[in-house]
Amino acid sequence: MRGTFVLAVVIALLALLPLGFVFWATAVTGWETASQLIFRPRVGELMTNTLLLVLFTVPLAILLATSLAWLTERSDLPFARVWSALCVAPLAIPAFVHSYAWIGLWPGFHGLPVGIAISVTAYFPFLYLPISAALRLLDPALEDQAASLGLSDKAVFRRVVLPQLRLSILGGGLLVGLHLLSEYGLYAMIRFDTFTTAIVDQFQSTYNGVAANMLALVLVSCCLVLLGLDAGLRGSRRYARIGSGVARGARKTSLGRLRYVCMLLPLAAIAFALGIPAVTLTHWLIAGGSNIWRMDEIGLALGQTLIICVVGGIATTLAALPVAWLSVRRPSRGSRIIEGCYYLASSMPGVVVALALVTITVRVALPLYQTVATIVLAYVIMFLPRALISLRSSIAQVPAELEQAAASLGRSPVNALWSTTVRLAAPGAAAAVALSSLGIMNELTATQMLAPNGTRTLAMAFWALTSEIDYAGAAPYALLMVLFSLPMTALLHHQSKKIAGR
Amino acid sequence: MKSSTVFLAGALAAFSPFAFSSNASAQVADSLTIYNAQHEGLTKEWAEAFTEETGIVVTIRNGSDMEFANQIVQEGANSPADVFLTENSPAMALVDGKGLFEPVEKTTLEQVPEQFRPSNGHWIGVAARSTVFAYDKTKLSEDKLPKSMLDLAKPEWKGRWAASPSGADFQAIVGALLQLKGKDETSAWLTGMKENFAAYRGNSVAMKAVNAGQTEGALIYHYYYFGDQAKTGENSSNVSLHYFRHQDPGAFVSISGGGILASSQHKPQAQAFLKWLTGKDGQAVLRDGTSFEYAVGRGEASNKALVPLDALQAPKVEPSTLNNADVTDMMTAAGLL
Amino acid sequence: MSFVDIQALRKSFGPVTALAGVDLTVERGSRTVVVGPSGCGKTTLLRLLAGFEAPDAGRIVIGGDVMAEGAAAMPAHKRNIGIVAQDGCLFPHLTVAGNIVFGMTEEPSLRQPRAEELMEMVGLERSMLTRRPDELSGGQQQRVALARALARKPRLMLLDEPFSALDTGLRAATRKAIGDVLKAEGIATLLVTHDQAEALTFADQLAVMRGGRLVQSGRPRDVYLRPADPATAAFLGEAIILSAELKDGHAHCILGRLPLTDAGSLARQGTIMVRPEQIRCVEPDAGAREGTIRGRVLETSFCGSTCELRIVLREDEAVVLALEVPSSADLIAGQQVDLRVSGTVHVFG
Repeated sequence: MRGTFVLAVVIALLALLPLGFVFWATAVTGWETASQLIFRPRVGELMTNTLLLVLFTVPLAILLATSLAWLTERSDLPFARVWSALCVAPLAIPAFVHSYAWIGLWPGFHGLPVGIAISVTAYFPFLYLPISAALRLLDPALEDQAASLGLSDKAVFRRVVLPQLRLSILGGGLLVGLHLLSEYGLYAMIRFDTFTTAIVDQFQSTYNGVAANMLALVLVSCCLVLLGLDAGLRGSRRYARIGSGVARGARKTSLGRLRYVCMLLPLAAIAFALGIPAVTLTHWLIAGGSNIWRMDEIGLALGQTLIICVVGGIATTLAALPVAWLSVRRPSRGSRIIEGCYYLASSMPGVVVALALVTITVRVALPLYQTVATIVLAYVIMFLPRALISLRSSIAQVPAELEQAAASLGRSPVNALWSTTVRLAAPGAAAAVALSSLGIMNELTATQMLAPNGTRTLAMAFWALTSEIDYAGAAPYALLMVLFSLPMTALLHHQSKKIAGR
Repeated sequence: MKSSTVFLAGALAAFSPFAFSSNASAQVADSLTIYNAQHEGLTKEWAEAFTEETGIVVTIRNGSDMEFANQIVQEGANSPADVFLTENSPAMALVDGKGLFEPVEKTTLEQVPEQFRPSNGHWIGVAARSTVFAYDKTKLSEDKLPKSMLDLAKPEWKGRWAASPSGADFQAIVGALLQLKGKDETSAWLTGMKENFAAYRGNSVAMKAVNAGQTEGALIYHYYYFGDQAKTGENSSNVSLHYFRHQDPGAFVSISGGGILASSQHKPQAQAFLKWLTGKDGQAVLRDGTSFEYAVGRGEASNKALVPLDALQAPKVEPSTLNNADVTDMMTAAGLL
Repeated sequence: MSFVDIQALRKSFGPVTALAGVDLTVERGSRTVVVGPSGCGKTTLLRLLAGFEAPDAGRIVIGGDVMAEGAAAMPAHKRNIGIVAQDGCLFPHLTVAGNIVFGMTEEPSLRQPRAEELMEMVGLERSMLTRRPDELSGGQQQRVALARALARKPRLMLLDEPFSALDTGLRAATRKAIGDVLKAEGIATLLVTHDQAEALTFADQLAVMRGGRLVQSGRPRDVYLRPADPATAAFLGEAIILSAELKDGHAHCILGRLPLTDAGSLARQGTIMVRPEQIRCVEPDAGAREGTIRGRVLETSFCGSTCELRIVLREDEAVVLALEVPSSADLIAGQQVDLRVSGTVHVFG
C-alpha cells in the first residue's frame, strides 16, 4: 500500500518534469531576455492564430458532434448504427494525414479557414464519442418528466438533455482544444503557424534554444488556461443518476419526412472525414503503382513502429497501474492529487515534453540520452491517462473481497493482488495497452526529437516523404497507419460506452 | 535489416542495467553513426554504397543543419555521432567554432579544391548548391525578374514571392548576405522580406506553390527544380530558374559540409567515409544520381543538366565564418521565426 | 360523464401485447389505484395517460378533452397531467428550487414564493430549496417530486409506484402525506402499484389488471371480499379456495356448512373462497359436537404479536391451511384444534 503510493508519486513527479522544465528554463533565462522573447510581434501573431483556431474549432466541433450524436442516438435516422460507427472511424486517421489528404485535393489550401475546417473534421469524433455515449446513458424518464411538466421537445432538449451533456461536452472540448495546441503536422502542412509549429521551427534552427523554450512557456500557459477554463465551467458537481430504476430505452424522435434530408449531415461529415482521405490515398496509391511499395523500408518502419508501440503501450499501462489501483481501492485526497498530476502532465504538447526530455537527458542524465527509455518515458507522460481510464474501470469491476479472500488464504498482499485483481482486470489492461499504442503510433513531434539513432517509424517516414512532396511515396505509410489504428479505434468506441458514466 | 538489428540492440540496451552508453552503434564494432542534415535519399544512397564497399554499418539520424549543430554542441564529448553531414556551411562553422571537429586527413582535403573547404581543414565540402529565384514563367517575363536578390525587399515585390525561412538553406543565404553586406543592410532586408513574402515550410513546397500559381517566385536552391523535372515535372512544369549571377548575394553558392567529431570512437571509419565521399565514387553519386547537387571533387563533373558551377558568378563567401546564431537572432527579431 | 374516461385502449410493443382493450373511468377528485403483478400492463396504461406513448387503438378523454383517439395523441407537454415516478426523477443538474419551479408558468417573481408554499404543503423545510437532489433522502425526493408536479396545478395526478423504493416505515408516512395533500387539493389521482396492501389502503376505487386486461374494478372492500376469480382473490391477500356443493344458500365443503355472501337459488357444484382471518382455532371441546371441524397443528412459527400455523384437517390429510392466530393462543405442533368459520363465503361466478 505504502509502496504503491510512493511508486505512484515517483511516476507523477517524472510526469511533471516537462512542466517543471519550462518554468526552470524561464527562471534560468532571466526575466529580461524572457520578456524580450515573449513580448514580440511574432508571438502576438502566433497567439492570434492559436486563439482564433481554438475559438472557432471547438464550438464548431461541439455543434457538429452534438448534432450527429443526437441524430444517431435519439432520432429515427436511417442506418443510425452505421453512421455511429463511421463517426468514430476518423479517429483511426492521424491528424496530419487529414491535411495531407486535403492538400492532395486542393494544393493551394492554407491558413486559418482551412486549419479550422480540417481540425473540425479530424477532431469532432473526440466529442462525438463521449456525447453519444452520454446520450445513450441519460435516463429517459427525466425527459418524460419534463414533458409532463409542460415542456415541448425542443425545450426538453435545451433544459434537460443539454445540461446533462455538459460534462461530456466540456471533457471532449478540452481534449480537442489540447490537440489543437499540440498538433504539429496538420498545421505545418497547410502553412498555418501555431506555437507548436513555431517551436519545431526554432528547434530545427537552434535545437533547444532559449527562444524555443520561451515559446514553450507561452504554449504551456495556453494549455493551463484551457485546463483552468474547463475546471471552472465544470464546477464541483457531478450529475449522477439519483434513482435506482432501470433506464428504459430512450425515445427516438421521429424525423418524419426530413429523415432522408437529415442524412445529409452525417453524410457530409463522413465525406470530409473519411471520403477525402480515402480519395487522396487511393489516388496516390494508384498513381504510385508498385514503385512506392519499397517493402524493405516499409517493413522496417512497420516493425520499428510496432515494437515501439508495444513497448510504449506496456510501459504506459504499468505506470498507470499503481494509481489506478489506489484510486479504486484506496481513494484519498492523495490519490486524487496524483491523478490530477497525470492529467496535467499529459496535457503538455509532445513538442514541450520532447524539448524538456532532450535538455534534461543531454545535460544531467546522459546515459539515458537518445535511448528507448527516454522516448518511452515521453509516451508514458503523454498517454498515461488513456491507460488509466481503461485500467480503473476494469479494476473497479473486480470485487475487493476477492483480494481479501486471497489474503485470508495465505497470499502476500502483492501475490493476492496479482492472483486476483490483476488477472481479472487483464482485458482492461489489454485495452489500456492498445489505447496508448494508438497514440504512440500516430505521434510525430516527440518521436522525431527523441527517437534513438536509426529509428524510423511510420509517422516519421510519412512526414519525411511529404516534406519532399513525394506524396505518392508517403501513401503506403499513411495506409498502414490507418489500417493498424482501425482495430484500436473500434476498441475505443467499445470502451467509450463504459467511460461515459465517469 | 541491419539497421533494425541496431535498433533492437538499442532497445534492449536501454533497459539493461549495464547500458551506460546511450548509442547503440558503439556496441557494434565496425560501424558509423551519421547526424545527417542532407537530403535523406542522397545520404542513404551514399551510405549504402559505402557499406557495400567497406562493410561498415552506417546508422543515420535525420534532422536539420542547425538542430544538429546545436545538439552536437550540447552533447559535447558524449556525442553519439561520428560524422556530421549538412546542407550548408553555417552549421559546420558553429560546431568548428566550439572545437568539436577532428581535422580531416590531408589526402582527403586534397581531393577538393580550396574554395570548397575552410582553410583550417577541420571539415570539408562534400557538395554544393546554388541560390536561384524559381519563378512562374507564365506570369513573369525575363525583363520583369529582380536584378538582385536585394530587390525582393522593395515594395514592388509585396505579396509576390515565397521562401522557407525556417530551413537551414534560406538561413545560409541570409548568412551570406550578412557576410557580404553587414548587419544593418541585412536587418533592413529581412524587415522588407517579412512585409513582402509568404512563408512555406520546405523549398520543394515553395516551388510547388510557384508552379500552382499561388505566388510568382520563390527564393530557393537550384536542385529542387531539376529533381522534379527528372521525375514527373508535375510540380515544376510552369517553373523556370533565374540565376542572379554578377556576384550578387542571390548568386550565393552554398557548400554542404562533412566533418568528423573529435569525440568519435570510430575515427578511422569516419575518415574513410569522408575520403570515399569526396572521392570518385562518392562524387559520382552526385553526378549520376537524382540529387542534382553540384559535385565539388577535384575534376569531378556535375550532372550535365546543370548550369556549370563556374558559370554562376557566385560572390566570394568564406564558409568557415558564416554565423548562423546572428542570423537566427536577426530573423527572430524580424518576426520570421 | 366521468372525469377520466378510458375506452377499449390497446397497445402492443412488437409481438408483446401490453394492453388488450382496457376500459376504466375515474371520478373527479377521487383516488383510483391500478394494481397488478409486474408485466400486467399497468405502467403502459399510465404512460398512455401521461402521453409518453400513443395507443394503438382506443380513446382517452380527460375532463371532456380528448387526449388520445387511436394513434392520434396529444403530446405530453400539452396535457397538464402531473406524474410522480418511482424514484422521484428529480433533475440532477438543478437544485430543489430549480426542480419545483421547472414547469411553472407564473411570472418569475412569483415563482420563489410559490415554491416555498409548495414545500410547506408537502411538509418540507424551506431551507431545503437550495439543496441538490442527491442530498435528500428518498422520502424527501418523493415529496419534492410531488411539489414539482403540483406546481402546475395538474388536472390529474399519476403516481407510478412512488413509494416502492422507500423503507417500510417511511412508505406509509409518505403515502399518507401525499394522499392528504392530493385530497386537500381535490386532484383526481391514479396510483399504479404492485403492492396490494398499499392499493387497498389508498384507493377509493381499485382496478385489478392482469395480462393486459382490467379484471375487476370497484370499491376496495368489494373487490377484496368478492373477487372476480381465484387469481384476483389470491393477489389481494391470502385466500383459501375450496370446491363446495351449493344449496339452500350455503356452501357444503370440507370446512362444513357455510353461509354464502350472495345466495344463489340453484343447487350446483362451485368454487368458494374463505379468507384465513374468518377461521378461528379453539381448544378442542371434550364432547365434540357434530359438524365440528378438527385439525392438527403441523408447524408453528412465532412472529411477535401473531403466530403462523400450518394446520392439517383430520377429514382430509391433503388439505393444509395456513392461519395467523394471536400468539397468546400458545399452540404447539402436534396439538389438536377445532376450527370455527365465521361470516359468509364468496362463490366465484
